[in-house]
Amino acid sequence: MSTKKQLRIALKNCGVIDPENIEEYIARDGYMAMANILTDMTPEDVIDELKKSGLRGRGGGGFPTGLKLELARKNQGKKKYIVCNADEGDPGAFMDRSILEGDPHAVLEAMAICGYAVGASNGYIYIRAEYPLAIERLKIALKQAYKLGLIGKNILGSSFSFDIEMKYGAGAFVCGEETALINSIEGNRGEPHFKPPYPAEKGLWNMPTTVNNVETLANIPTIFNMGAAKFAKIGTKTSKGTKVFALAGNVNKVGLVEVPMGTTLREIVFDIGGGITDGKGFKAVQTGGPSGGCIPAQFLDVPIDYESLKEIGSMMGSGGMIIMDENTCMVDIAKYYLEFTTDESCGKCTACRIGNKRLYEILQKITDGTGTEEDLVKLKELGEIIKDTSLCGLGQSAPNPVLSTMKYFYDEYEAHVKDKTCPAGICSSLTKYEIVKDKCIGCTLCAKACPAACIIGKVREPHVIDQDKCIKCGACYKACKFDAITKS
Amino acid sequence: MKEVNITINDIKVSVPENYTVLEAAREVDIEIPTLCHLNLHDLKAVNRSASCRVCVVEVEGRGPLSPSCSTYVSEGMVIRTNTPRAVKARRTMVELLLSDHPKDCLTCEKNQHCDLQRLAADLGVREIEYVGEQSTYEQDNSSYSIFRNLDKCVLCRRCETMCNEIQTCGILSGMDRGFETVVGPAFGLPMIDTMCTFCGQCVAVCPTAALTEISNVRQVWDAINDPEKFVVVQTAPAVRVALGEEFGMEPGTIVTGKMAAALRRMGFDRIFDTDFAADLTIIEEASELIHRVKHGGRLPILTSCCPAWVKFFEHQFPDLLDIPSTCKSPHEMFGAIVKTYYAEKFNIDPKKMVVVSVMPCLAKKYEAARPELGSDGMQNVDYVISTREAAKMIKEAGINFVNLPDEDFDNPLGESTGASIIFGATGGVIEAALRTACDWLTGESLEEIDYHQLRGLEGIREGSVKIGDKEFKIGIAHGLGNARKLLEDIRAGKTEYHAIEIMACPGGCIGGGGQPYHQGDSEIIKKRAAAIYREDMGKTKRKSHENVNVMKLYDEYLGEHYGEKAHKLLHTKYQKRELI
Amino acid sequence: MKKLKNVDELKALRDDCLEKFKGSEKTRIIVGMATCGIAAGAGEVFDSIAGEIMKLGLGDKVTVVRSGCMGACHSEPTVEIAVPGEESVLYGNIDSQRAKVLVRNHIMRNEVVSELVLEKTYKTIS
Repeated sequence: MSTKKQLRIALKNCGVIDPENIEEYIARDGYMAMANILTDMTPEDVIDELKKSGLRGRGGGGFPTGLKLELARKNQGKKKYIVCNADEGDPGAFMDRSILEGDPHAVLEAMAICGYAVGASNGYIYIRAEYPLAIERLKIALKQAYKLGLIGKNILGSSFSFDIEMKYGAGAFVCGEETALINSIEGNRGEPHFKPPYPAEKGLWNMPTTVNNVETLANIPTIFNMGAAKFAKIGTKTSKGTKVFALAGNVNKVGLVEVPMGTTLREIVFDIGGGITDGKGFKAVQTGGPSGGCIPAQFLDVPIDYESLKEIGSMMGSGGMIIMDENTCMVDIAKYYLEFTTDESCGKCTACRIGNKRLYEILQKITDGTGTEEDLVKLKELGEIIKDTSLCGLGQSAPNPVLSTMKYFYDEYEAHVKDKTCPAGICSSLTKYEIVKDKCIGCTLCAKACPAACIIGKVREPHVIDQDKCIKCGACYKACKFDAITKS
Repeated sequence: MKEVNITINDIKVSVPENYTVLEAAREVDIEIPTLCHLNLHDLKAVNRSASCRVCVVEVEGRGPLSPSCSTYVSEGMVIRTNTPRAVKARRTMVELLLSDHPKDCLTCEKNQHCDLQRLAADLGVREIEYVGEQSTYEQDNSSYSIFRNLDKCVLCRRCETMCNEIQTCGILSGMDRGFETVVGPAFGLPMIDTMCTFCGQCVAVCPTAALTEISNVRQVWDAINDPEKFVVVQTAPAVRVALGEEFGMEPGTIVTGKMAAALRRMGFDRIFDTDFAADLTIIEEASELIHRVKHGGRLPILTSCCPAWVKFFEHQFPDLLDIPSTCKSPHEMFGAIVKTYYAEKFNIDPKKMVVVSVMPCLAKKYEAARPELGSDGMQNVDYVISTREAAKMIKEAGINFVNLPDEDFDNPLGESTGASIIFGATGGVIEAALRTACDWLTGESLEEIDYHQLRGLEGIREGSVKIGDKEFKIGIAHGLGNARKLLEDIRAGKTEYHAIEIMACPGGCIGGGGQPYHQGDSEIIKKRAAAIYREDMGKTKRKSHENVNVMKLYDEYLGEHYGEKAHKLLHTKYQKRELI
Repeated sequence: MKKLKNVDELKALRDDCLEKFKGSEKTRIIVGMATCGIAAGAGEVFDSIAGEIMKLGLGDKVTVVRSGCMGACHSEPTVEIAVPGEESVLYGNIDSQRAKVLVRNHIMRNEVVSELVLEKTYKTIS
């Protein structure tokens, strides 16, 4: 195993500096990028440099950051705004929180740089209220930056002023969608609206607005410090720089990893992540959170970037990466993600509000053992219509976990529907516990453990499970000391 | 406006660049079905939530389907509205909506008036592929006016647009999320506990039966069928220019005579006209205005005929409670007169009288229940039914409305002038008041009585009228959002009007929440307005003070205009209400 | 701290800070104290290290720093020790007892506590 597969750019100060001490950030060239820009560069230069760097949004869509700023710069407005999207909400993702807790100044500096580039003098950080430590550290950082005149009026004696305010989200996942986020900042119900108009044209209070995610911003000061050309050498043809992933699930070394674009899943899972827990086999990796898809073993060696992940039915997303071992039921996983998105749907559009609910209900049927082959057809058809018809990114991508698992693990779906079995033994309704007559010594432990009192048998004689009464809780399976109970 | 070239279903067309795909398609006679979309051009009420996803079309070069109601055209755009992909998605959206909808069309309030029903029929939906849980909510019949049955809500958000953007009342908004998303007042309060004005504009635009009126049809039939009761009906000016629509007649058809005939055949004991009381209102209101002008009272005077507007200022502008006219609304004046003057004159026990108002309005239902609008344990008005409810009753009674002969109202409370008829359109009340005030102040009988500058559908209008050597500044607003703007200016001391007319509903009473559904076509409202002025022109007497029976009422019973007895019977008071 | 009026003042401050943090001969003990670290007990670890440093009178030789996430969620709490002139060492699964061991062995005796060392799988952009 080769070491140092990771390269830290966005995380370069995380776990290194004291985030509550601006001097430590300054010692590591903090605010120098902004300072140099204010003295030596025009806003257009800043945009050009970012375009040259090839930096793309790390929050999901992968839109080129330089271009985004350019659009907001070109659009006219009495005021313009920079918004930092810190409404991280994917299950198992914590990249942005870690950056904000470990290196808040990088985000503030980047926001000021973006403000200078588009001609905005106000910034908002939209952060979920469930991140109290990140909020606390941001507040301290803001206070210190204001004190030193690095944020605020006439920064470093220049004519550029930039104020930053914090807004707290109430934890609605959909508020990570930029138009919903803007609605929420304005005090309205956090639900998206149809784009166009994009925020670059009509954003916060109908003014040109740039919304960037935390990790995207955290890259910006370093890009200017190291030079865009050098940054652009890292990564693949279409995706430059690095990506931070929150590695979780059945992997030995769960954690926050930052790898150059183009690293393979195998390198992440096995070299950095130390392989699958308990020596089990790898089954799939889920990327892109609830909007992403499940990637099977055959793609472990694909160098990952925005395009390649899309090609194999998933997406970069914000960086959640959940590793699943051979004992995972892919239908159950799809159901889990869909449960999340149906719960987090804002309910505005029909496709997402009712469509995803129906999709979930079909999955429920399948995992309950009452699904039919026709349901599989419906699942795919409805999933594709929802993708095609939903109003915002949440709805459009909600069926992805279903469609990608259907694509790569169709046999599992078939097993649930045709054979009424869950191959991974996860879906309890489809699990059957049986006592192997030859192995049972009649110790009665299983009968005692059974909460449904459905195990019959005399002491020292083989026991039997009354399948009609069995609630499939697995208590007998765990209680048996003689491996006499099988689960299928 | 710059034009752009686009192609829709292979038809090349050039349209203004501010057009949506939906508007462009209609230019070339391509119908794209819609559900949540609403565009009342003349009233500037647009709901473009793009939430139902029914109007989706294919736009070349764009990934997912685009909602045509919210997608603006651009140069070279290539659109296909009827590809299998778009049609399938569209039908699936309707099926999904139906899968979460009580399919009780046959017994539904909105049967045959429901946009969802029509859409399902148009798209040929014959079965619902996706079935599952259906949402159920508690029904809200807490108010006297608006019935909420959210099981039937399709989340089109039109009601929110009307309530928040047009009326600026902010009662209805989206709550909860996902499948549980619902539209309602804050904290799930019942409507009666909110500052809802009951204007009913939410009902007017609801595509389904999620929002309807609280019906009084049953009570009215019971009263009619009770031989002990003397049931008097009165009809508001705006009803006669809209009722015909319910029977398939052209919008703007005047059906005054048929309406009187129908009501008589239904079994009402007397068929009277609220217009009589509108003339009475003018006498009182014009007197009040002149009184304020002469005695240095507070100006401007604000009209008070509209109950939704009254409730609006009680909640929103409690500091200005002394400027609206203290006049009761016409149908309340009418009720008071019927149960006193008329009862005495014809020796009828007022306790046995039932006064029914046929109104274009839902707020009148709430108004009728206000405790201060009654005396001796009797309400001035007992029941209010909307134009729609009246039509239902006529149908229920098996009356062939279209073929009815024209009949007259009963007298003496059936006489009316052109001035009272124009109460039905925005600007009409103030115009009627001017016709009388001018004559009174100048002591002449003026010929020029058509105040065209005060008419129209512009949200806020103003004009000035010279009476003798005095210049009167007039303000008019319709729609509560416009009313709010005017009131805020008054509060800030920015304007110097003498008199202001305010109607809560866009268009005035002709666009009321109890009128036949306009189904998003604001042309209908314009045609009703035109009919109102036609009816006015057709009258020989067009000034309220020329109403002989109104004058007789003063001579025989009330005494002085704006005098003591008039105050007791015809005037009311207002109270501060909470903001919630 | 005063408002910085121009770029040169920022540069001067940076040089001062560099002197303060890098140029000194002090050993840096960094405790990973993001939410996850704190939840795993990093607060106690920090207190334990700081207490031990004080007790042993190492205050002028060692700085203890609260930092953010070091990325090794699998082995929280994490501590990194950087002795001037040496490659820094990352430790994982530290509790308040082990924290004391780190101070006594790594700081006092300059002995790496190898059984607690985590492999660093990253390099940082310069």
